[in-house]
Amino acid sequence: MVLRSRQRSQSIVEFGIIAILFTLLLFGIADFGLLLNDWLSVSSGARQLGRDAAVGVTFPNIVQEARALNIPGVSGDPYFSGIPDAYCCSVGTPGSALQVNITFYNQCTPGPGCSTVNPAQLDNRYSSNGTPGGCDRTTQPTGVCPHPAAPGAPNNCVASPTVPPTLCPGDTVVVSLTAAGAQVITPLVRPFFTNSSTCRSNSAHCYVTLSSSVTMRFEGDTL
Amino acid sequence: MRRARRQPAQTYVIAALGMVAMLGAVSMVIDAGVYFVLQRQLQNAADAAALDAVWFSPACGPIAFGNPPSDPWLKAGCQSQYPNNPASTPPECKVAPNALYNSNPCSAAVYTTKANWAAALSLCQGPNLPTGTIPITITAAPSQALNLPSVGTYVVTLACDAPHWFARVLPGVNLTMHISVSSAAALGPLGPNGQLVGGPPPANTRLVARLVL
Repeated sequence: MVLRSRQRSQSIVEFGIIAILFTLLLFGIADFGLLLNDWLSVSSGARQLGRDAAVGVTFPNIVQEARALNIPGVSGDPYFSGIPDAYCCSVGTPGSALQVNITFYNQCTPGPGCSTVNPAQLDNRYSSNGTPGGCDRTTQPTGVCPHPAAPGAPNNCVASPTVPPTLCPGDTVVVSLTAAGAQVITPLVRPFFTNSSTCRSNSAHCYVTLSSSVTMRFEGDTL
Repeated sequence: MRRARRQPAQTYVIAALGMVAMLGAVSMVIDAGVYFVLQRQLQNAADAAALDAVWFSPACGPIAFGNPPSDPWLKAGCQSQYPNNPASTPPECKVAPNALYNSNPCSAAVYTTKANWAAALSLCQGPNLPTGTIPITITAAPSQALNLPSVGTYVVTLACDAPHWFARVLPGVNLTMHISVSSAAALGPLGPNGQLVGGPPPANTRLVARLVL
């Protein structure tokens, strides 16, 4: 009887040790799943904003769209609670949980030798209501066009029996979406996803920064 | 006394078996998760590439050719068949000299894919590939319009063999999983409701690019 009683206690202790491992594993899986869900939302949101920017939606409207994005788990951190625009998209210290960055590149894909271009000087030769572009493939046979397009020149990317549309390179838009505020609550798992810079002293929790960016060709305002 | 000998290890055995089962499930989930994440990333890159490339398709005018590109991917990744003019099959995908960007659909597809494939690239690069190998193949080619006659369509296909990180230990499971995605974009006149319309493009109609696949 004494022996059995001691054995039972031992099995309870064993279970206690094992249960900690199991619980950590289970909560780690759940945390990672939530994080992956957030990351997919960020990725999908970046793509949506990127496509809109590529077809000529302007920056203030892109920001409005970003505010309407539903990215679960983001901005739940108390660190963001005091910020006027806690979800999106105020910049500063501290900024909102969701940040949108839009960069236009001057007729090139981002990389060495590729410079950015002012959004006001975008290549809008495909535009119907912007300033018509002036890139005629007959005068620019190599496909290198003056930039920005000369005002008053004909808009060549319209279907026409006599004048084929231009083959000009066009600008590139890069939209990146960065979300902070997704949390990992499981102890021991958290250090894998966070670092000291995302664990604020005045914050009860640490958050994970998720980022995604898309690169698309600027097609002018075709909407 | 016999029970006393057998009981002490009971919890550990159950835990060990349970741990093996759970880790097995976790490994399967990770492998499947890698597949779906990778598929999504590649699809995004292919969509952007197809939308970019179709603006340079033969439907939008002839192609500008220049010196052979220094980037081997422009040669390796592209097919060059031009349905509008099959007689003059140009050499492999070339870019105009001094053009930072590109001036034909093939190189547009390659450049835009490369601008978007960073996340997919690291997932496709498995331990079975030598370091420095680029694991994603790009195939870009114009196509006959799928359901919109006389509309230029361009198809970009991306493929890679991503590693099975855990399932490889199982017998009969390949070391890699093949992932292939396609995207087709069409360029055509803009219809009254903002859609792409088929048929011969009327004069002075704006062209728009849309994904059609």
